[in-house]
Amino acid sequence: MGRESSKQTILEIRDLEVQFATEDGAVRAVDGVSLSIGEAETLALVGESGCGKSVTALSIARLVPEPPSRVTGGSIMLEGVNTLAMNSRELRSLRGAKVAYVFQEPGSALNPVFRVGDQIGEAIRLHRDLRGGAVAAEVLRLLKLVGIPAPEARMREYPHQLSGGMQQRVMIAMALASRPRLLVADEPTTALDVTIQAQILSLLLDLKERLGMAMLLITHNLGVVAQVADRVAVMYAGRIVEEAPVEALLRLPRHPYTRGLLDSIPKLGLGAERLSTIGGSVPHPGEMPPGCKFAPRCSIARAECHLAEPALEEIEPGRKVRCPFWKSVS
Amino acid sequence: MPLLEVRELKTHFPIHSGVLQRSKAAVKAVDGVSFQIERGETVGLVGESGCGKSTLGKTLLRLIEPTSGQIFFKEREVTSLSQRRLRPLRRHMQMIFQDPYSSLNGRMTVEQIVGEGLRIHRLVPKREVSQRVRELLEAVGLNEQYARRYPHEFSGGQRQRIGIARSLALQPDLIVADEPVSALDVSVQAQIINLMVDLQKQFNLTYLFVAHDLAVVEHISDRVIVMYLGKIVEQAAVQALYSSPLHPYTSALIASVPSLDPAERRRQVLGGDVPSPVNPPPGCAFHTRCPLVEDRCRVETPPLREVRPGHFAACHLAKP
Amino acid sequence: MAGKSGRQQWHGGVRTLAGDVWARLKRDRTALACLVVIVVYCLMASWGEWVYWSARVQDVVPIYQVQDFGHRYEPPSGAHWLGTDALGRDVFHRTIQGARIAFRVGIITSLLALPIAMVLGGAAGYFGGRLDECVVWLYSTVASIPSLLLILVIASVVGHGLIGVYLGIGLTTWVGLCRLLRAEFLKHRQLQYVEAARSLGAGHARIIIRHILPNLFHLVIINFSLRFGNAVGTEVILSFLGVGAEGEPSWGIMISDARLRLWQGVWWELAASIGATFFIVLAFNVFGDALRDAMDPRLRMVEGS
Repeated sequence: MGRESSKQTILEIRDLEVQFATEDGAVRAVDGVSLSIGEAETLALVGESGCGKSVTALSIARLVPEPPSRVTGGSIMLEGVNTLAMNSRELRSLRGAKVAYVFQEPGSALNPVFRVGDQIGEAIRLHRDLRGGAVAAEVLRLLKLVGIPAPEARMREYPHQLSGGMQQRVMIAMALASRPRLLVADEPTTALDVTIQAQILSLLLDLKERLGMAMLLITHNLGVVAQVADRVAVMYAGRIVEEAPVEALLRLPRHPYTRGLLDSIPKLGLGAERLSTIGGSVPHPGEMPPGCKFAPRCSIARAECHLAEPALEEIEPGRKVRCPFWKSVS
Repeated sequence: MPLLEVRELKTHFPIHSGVLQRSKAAVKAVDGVSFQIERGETVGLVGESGCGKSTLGKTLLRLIEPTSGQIFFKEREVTSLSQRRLRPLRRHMQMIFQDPYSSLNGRMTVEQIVGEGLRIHRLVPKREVSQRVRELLEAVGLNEQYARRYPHEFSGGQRQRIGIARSLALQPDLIVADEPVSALDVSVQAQIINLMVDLQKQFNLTYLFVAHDLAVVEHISDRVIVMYLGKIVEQAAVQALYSSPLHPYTSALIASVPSLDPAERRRQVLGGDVPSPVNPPPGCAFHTRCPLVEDRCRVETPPLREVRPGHFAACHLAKP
Repeated sequence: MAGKSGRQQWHGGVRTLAGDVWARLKRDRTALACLVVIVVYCLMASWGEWVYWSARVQDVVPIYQVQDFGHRYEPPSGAHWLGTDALGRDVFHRTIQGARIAFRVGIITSLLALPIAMVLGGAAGYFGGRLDECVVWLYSTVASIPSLLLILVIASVVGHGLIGVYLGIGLTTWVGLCRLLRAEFLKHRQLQYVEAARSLGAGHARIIIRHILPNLFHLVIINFSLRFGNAVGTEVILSFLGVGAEGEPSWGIMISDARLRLWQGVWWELAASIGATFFIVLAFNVFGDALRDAMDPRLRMVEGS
């Protein structure tokens, strides 16, 4: 499932840099992030809160409020067009059309005063040349596609009448309404219960196969990554520290941070074994350490790690690590 | 005698409607729950949102008033006590909250927050409060210099440590931890879980650990209770419950946890949604989603029975 | 949990809330200008009090009441900075006395209204039930009567000049804050920090006073600033209508006296009293809004936690 160069590249982010103005001065939330997603490929962007993964994802359609944020460098090519150079009219026609988003809280992303069928219909009319009965038929098709039972009845209901899982399915249907080239799912299952999460994950897998859509999945849950993604990029303190095909990364992480993350997850069937932890906490964005950003918490850090930041190196095809000592990570 | 014994506990929230504010229906958040907790053990309480697990935890501390049933804590019946008589008992049962942000008063310093219980119950002389607070901060792995700071200066994990120090201050016997790690990042989660395990040994604590994350519950618990729509559907020692669950809901919950192995994709998934706790389905409340459903499940409510020694399940089909 | 908006949860050095608010206010030039205006008026009012009391203690006619029929309607000059009025009294000193009365009105009505709003709103929101219903009924009733009418009724029943004004304004202007505090208490009593205090064994009084109120006190301060200006304006109107101050140089009385002479070219008394009223009411309103911006926790969320 790794990288196949024959496939067309849908999204290509290069050296993206996003700053936030705070009361203590400007801080870099995203610092030189590069990644690409090919056709029908799912890339998971993984990291803990504040690592910059959501900002990266929202920057694609320039959805991060400016100010306080500001893109200070890099490029985001969506099907060969740089979204960072777009004016606000071009951005509007991009959003929801070429790139669609699904967010964590379906309850707050749906408008409570409109029927769900009308909201999906609105999205269709906005981006496609369908009118009248064709729109209603398309709404029904989409609701069926995302596995909503009794769609004829459901499309006449209001968001609050639906459960969280059903609301998330409606959100996905709305995102698909414009047949986007890229679906960005920002923590799509975090607010849902386990059994519902499993339903949504299997829906996403299903859609991926049927529609051949490119997907950027933002999550902190490595279990979700294992279920859906083809490739994974791990972020820490605004940078990508490791990028690899999903099986390879989960089987044999090469960056000490990835290793630490994987070890600190309680796993089913392991019983009361003591969890290993990563000591310390994420550095304050205003007080980043000079060398490797993970060095102060790293168990294998050496003196030089604190001096200069290592580069993201390709250690084997399709596999990059920002740690010169990756061979000692096991 | 167990540290805590709950008998037929019910917590219903009436839904008011109409001009006369008559309650016509009720959300049956906790609907006839009985169990015991022995001193020194950790009982995990799992279920999906709306199953009543958090309500149950808060009802035990009478932060929510029960509708009926009895709670025996240290051999005293708690539900009949007045708030005034309850207050001295409060210090023996404490709570750790889910949200590390809203659970700390932003206008109080760490010392005021952690020391408040000591002051209310006059556990130590006034001038020793700040010394005691510093000891507590050290116990939960925080620098004692943090005592003068305000909560907004701390990260989520540090705040949760402050919350734990606050509940430890009263030297409680029982701590109800309501989703204590679900708002935290993965690496911080592990730190807090390890801390709770250490403190349990150090202070001989008893935990009721309410959570929706099955892996976390398996990791920390001795026994596990599974709830669905206000009722206990299964209860057993942790290994027994995870290795050979008796209730189809428990099996589905365990199977739904996304595996870290990409080869194990597309598990069998439980269909449908949790029904409304206002009108739970008749018979077995799980029958609308159960893959094994039979005719009698739709009419006859299965009692919670001891199917195997120490392993209880509320399912007609459960066999030893 | 991963931040949905991607905003980081970092934390800077030690900073108190008051320091934070001040740092924000400092950057708002309009707010600072208003604060200067308020301080100047405050000094004027204090000086007015001193003049007022020293005259009473010495049992002499205070300078602003000294009549001089030889110097009626004199325009501003070195001797009388703002001229003289129909009885030859010094308009500048009368304007200063107006500030004294305005500040008395603002402070005394606040001392009446704020505690009423805090006690009723807090109790209704915190305890709920029957008590809440009673409080809601009470403030809905008060709010349903046009406020100026109610103030007029109270002021004319009580009579006695300014005491009627204090009571009239004080007893009618607690509704807005009360409603706000009730809603906020309703919200805060369900927050986890309150639940945490209850599980520690804290009593109701402790929870209300030590826990919830400090989290809402910024609302009281903002309300104080906004209502101060309004109370001053209302007093001016009442005195203008003749139900307010008696025999004392309220700005309302000065406006009422001066308006008839305007066509004769006597502009200074009207200008002084209207200008004095205008700037203080404006300053308090703008400053109140700036305070709200500086203190509102929702704005703090965006930038801080």
